[in-house]
Amino acid sequence: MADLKRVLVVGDKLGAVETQTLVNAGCVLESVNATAEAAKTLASKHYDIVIIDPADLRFAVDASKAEADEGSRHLSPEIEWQLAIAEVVANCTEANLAYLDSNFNFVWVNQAYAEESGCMKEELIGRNHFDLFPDKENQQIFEMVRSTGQPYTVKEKPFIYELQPERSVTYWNWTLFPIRYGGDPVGTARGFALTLVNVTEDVRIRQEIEQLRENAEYRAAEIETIMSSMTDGVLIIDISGNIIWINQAGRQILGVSRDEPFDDWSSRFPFLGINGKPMSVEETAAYKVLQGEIIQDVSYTITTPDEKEVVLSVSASPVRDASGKIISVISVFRDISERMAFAKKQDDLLKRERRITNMLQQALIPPEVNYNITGCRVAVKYQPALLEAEVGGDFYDVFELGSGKIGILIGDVAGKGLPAAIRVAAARYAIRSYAYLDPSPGRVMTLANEALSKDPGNGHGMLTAFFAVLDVNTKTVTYANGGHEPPVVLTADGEIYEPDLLGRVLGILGGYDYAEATLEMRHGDVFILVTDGITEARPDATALFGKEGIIKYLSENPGASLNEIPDGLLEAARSHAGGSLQDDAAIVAFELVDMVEA
Amino acid sequence: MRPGTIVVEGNSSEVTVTGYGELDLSNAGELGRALRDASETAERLTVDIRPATFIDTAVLEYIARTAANMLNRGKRLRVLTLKDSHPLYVLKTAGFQELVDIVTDDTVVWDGAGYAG
Repeated sequence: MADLKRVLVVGDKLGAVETQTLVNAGCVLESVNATAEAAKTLASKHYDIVIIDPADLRFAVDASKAEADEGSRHLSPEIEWQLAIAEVVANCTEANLAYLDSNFNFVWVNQAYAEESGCMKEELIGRNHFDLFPDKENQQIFEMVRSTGQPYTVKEKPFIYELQPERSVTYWNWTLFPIRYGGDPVGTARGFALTLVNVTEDVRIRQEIEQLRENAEYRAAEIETIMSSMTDGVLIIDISGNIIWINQAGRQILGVSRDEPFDDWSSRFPFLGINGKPMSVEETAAYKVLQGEIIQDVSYTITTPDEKEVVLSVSASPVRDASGKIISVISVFRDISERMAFAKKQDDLLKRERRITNMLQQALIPPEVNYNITGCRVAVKYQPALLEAEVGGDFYDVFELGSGKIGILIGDVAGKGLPAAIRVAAARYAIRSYAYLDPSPGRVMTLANEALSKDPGNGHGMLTAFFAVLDVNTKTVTYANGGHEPPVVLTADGEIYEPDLLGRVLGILGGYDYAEATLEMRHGDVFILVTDGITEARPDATALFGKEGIIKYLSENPGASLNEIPDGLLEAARSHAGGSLQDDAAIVAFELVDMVEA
Repeated sequence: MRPGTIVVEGNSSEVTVTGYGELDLSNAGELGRALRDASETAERLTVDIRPATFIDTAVLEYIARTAANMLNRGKRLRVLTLKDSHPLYVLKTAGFQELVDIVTDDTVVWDGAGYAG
């Protein structure tokens, strides 16, 4: 049998099987309960092998060192080796480890503890824990552990280094484990093992994540509240085309109750284009946006579950994730059915007004025919305004007054459309009526001005008018001018001149006596009247056709007949303006002819 | 052609309404409102159409109405124009000499400043 080996087993970590194995191997086992006791035993006896739990090594080291200092006993090489390993392991771990005596003075700390505390090991050893890291609550816990003998473990406990306030709040998982000798009564711990792990970073990251989540939830709730309170419909569609959220306004517009699902929305709400033709899925806003398009104010017509046709104006944009991939579509839509109906009604009204205006104007302005009246010939030309909707205010009239007298009127009321047409009616018939009573142009204009200036209705307003009475018997023309462009006379000799008679516009202020003038006319003399649609024809603001344009045309066309002059003048003005006139225009030209000829 | 611009300057007693550029049906209403508002309060009202390149009958009507309203209150509207200008020709042709005080003043040459069209 081999030599017996003396083995000391510290604590109860050795199981029955291992114990039996050692006995069979020729070992003599002795056991002690605590490392402190083991140290004393080791000091008094020699053992070949010592079996000890690594967690108890630290105490064993200190105890053995103390004994060694007394010079009474040396540790075996195996124990020295195991203690060295334990020291290395303790200093390699990231956990903060410390051993405190019964008064919470530091006996030993590992490297991590020293570094975390911001002190050198030497500065800690021998100092009281709560002198260095004061904390009343922790102190109470430590004292409780000491008095109860029960270990204490806590997770993520906040701690503030009072002596290092710049570190702010830190968080720790820590355990305080009381160490007693075998026979010590409860409340008489000889020391404490303190293990700490700094979880400040973990806590802060979790707090930040929590804060972000709370913020996100708040923002989401805020956005949902806003979208829910909007009068526009808002819906969110996922990339498969499913509606994943819709606000209350959206449900109301689409005629769907609060709890009704939208699973089959595309089949339930067949989309029509604004022209009423059915649309394919590819033509819908959602589909286009999923392809990357942005939809702005596109109109669709849908039929709601209660068979109501609704016109929607839809704008939609894609929602992208951080990588730019489209993850959903937000569509904002509003019911524009009423607006469309109103616009249509307005359009119908405008068309109606235009029809009335055209009819009125056609009734007011004599047919564009040349007049062959006894002793006189009159040629007219009327060019309506370019835009059909803007019926102009130019007018003319030719009427026989009896006794060889012919009334010839040209004028222009301010404005366009139906109001202008009504003014034309008022002016034309006022002048015509007074002319039948008294064919004196000055008197006619004076009376007409009085009447028109006092009219509070639609007939009220400014107008220019030139009224002439041609007397084929006396071969004279007597005229009065109400603020209108003066006439141009082309004599039979080819001379061109402008009879100089001005007067105030009509329809603004009464109490004005219009002067009249009389010219003798010979056969072949042509009296030409135009509206400002001719004289103000222009390609730009400064180059007006003007009276100069009329004179130039007449000079360059000496052989033009009466019937040719209005057409020629209109064409010349139009050409000057670059092809079209901005305003309506009227031209009246007349001449004396032999009674037989007429 | 430049669309016109209407600018109102002055104080409670003296107001000048200036028309720039092309004054026609499109901006006559604005000119009319400016003149109506000013004529109700100002002791002295001037329409400065020296910077106007063109005026049509709709503009004339608002000037005429303002002038008539002021005449009824014993006041006269003052109109500033350039000599040999289209606006002056139109004013004279329309017989405005008796409705308003036409002042021709070439001392201020408009260089386009103030035009916002």
